[in-house]
Amino acid sequence: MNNYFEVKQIKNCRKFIRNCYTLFKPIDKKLLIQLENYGHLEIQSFSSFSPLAKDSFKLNLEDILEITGVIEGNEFFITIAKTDLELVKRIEKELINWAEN
Amino acid sequence: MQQTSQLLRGNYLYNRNSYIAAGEPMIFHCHHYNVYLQAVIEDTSSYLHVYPMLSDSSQEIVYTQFSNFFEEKNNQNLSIEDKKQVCQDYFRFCGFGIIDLTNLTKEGGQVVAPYEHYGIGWKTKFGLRQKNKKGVAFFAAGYIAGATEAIFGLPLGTLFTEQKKCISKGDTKSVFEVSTRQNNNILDEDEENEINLVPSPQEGEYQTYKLKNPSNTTIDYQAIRQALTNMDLQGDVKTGLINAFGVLLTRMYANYYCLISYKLLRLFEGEMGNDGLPLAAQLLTEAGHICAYNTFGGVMQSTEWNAMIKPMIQDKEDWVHGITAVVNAFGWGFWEIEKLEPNKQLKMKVVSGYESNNYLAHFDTHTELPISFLAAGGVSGIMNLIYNTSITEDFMTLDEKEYRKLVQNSSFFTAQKQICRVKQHSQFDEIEVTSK
Repeated sequence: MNNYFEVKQIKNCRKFIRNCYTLFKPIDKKLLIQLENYGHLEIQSFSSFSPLAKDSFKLNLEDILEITGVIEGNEFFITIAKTDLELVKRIEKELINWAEN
Repeated sequence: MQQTSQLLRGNYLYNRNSYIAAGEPMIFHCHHYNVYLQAVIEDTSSYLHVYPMLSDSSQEIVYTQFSNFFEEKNNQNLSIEDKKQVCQDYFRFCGFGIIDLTNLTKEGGQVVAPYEHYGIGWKTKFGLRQKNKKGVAFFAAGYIAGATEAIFGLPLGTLFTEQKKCISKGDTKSVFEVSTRQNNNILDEDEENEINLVPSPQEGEYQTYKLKNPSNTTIDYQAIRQALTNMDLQGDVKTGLINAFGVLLTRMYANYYCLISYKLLRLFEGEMGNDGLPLAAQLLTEAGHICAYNTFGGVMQSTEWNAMIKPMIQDKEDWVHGITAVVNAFGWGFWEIEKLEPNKQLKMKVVSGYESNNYLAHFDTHTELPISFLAAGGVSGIMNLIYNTSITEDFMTLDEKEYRKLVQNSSFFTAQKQICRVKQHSQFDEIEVTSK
C-alpha cells in the first residue's frame, strides 16, 4: 500500500496474473489519455442503461496486457502475462504520476 | 476469398431469454465448465462408451444449424467458398477458436486450428495433457464434420472427424482429419458403433415469459440484461477466443451440454440401471457448481460488474440479485428469486431453462430424478460464493485450493429440494438451496 492505491493480486490463470487496484482518486479523462500509449482505448457505456451504472474502459496490448477500469470509479485492473511483469511497474508509475498532478 | 455478406449471428429473444442463431439456442459458458464437464464424462470412459457422443452431439447440432441457415431464402445462392467462410466465421464468433476449412472437399480433408477453445482451456485449467491420451477437441471435431456435411449438402452422419494433433498436449496447432464415416473408424476401434446421428431438437419445448424487476432490491434486472446482451462479446480476430470476466467464454450450443449430459445419464442407466442415476446426477451437478464458482466468481470481480452492478448494490443480498440478473443475460432462460433468506436459503424459479427445454423435446420424459443439473449446481454456487467466501469484501483468487476449502465448509449450500418440469410435469423448475 502507498498514498495512491491499494493492490491485491489474484492468480486464477497459469499464464496471467491480475492486479486489482483500489485507487484513492476516481479515474478521470486525464488518466485515460495518459494510458492510451498502452493500446487502443475502448469505452463501454453502461451508464446509458441505468443512471446508477458507471462506464468502463479497456486497453489491450497484443496478448500480453489488458488494462481495465471504472470511469469515475476507483477500481482499476491490470491483467498481464507472467513473462512481462516489468510492465506493471511502468503502469504503476503512470498511476502515481497521474495521482500527484 | 470473396467476402460474403451473409454471416450467421442470431438474435437475443427477450421473451425467451435466449440467443437464437438459425434455430439453435446459444448460451454463454466458460472454459471451466466446458473442460470440467468433459473431464467428468471422460473419467467414466473405463466403464462407459462415452467418446463417440462427445463429437457426434456437436455434429448433429452444427449440421442442423447450418443446413437450416443455408436453406434460408437469402443464403440459397451462397457458393461453397462462401459457406465455408460462414462456418469458419461462426466458429470464431462463438469463441471456439480459428479453423481453416479451405482445403475440405465433400470427401473430407485436413483442417488446422491454430487456436481452439477446448485445447487451450484444458491446458489453462489442468495443465498439459499426456501425449498418449486422445485430443480434447471432440466438440470441434463434430463441428467440422457437421459443418462440412451442411456445406456440401451431404446427409447427417456421412462424415467423421478424427483429431490428429491437440494444443492440450503441447502441439502448436490442433489438426483434424475429415473422412467418410464407416462403422470401424469411430473413436474406440475395439468397439462396434452404429451410425445413428439425429438432427438437433433446436429450441425444444421453450416457454415465453417476462423478466421482472423485484421490488425488494435496488438491482435493476432489466437494465443489466439490456446492457449485457448488447455487449460485443465475440471471438478475437486473431485467436478466435473470447477473453472476458477473467475466463475464456464461449457462445456455446445449449443443446450440446444437454445432449452429452443426458446421453451420459442414459449410459449410466444402461450399465447400472436406476442405481447409476444418482451418481451421474451428482457428477453433472458438481460440474454446474464448478461453473458457478468460476464464472460467477469471475463476473463478480470483473470490471463490468464494478461499473454496471456494484453501484446498485446496498447489501449482501443485492449480490445474489446482481448475479441472478447477470444469469438472465446468459441465454439460460429466466431465473427469478422466489425466496432469499440471508445465509440460509435461496429458492430459485427457472422458466424456460435450457436443460428442460431440450429434455422435454428430445428424451423419454419419464425420469426418476430432476434433470436441471446445471441450474441446481449454479444456484448452490451463488449461495456458496456470496455467503461462504470473502468475495463480497475483497478480490480473491478462485483456484483449486480455495475451492477445496469451500466444499469442506460446514455451511456448504446444496440443492435440497427440486421441482422439475420433466419429473413433476410442473410449469417451471424450482430449486431450493440450503446449507448442510
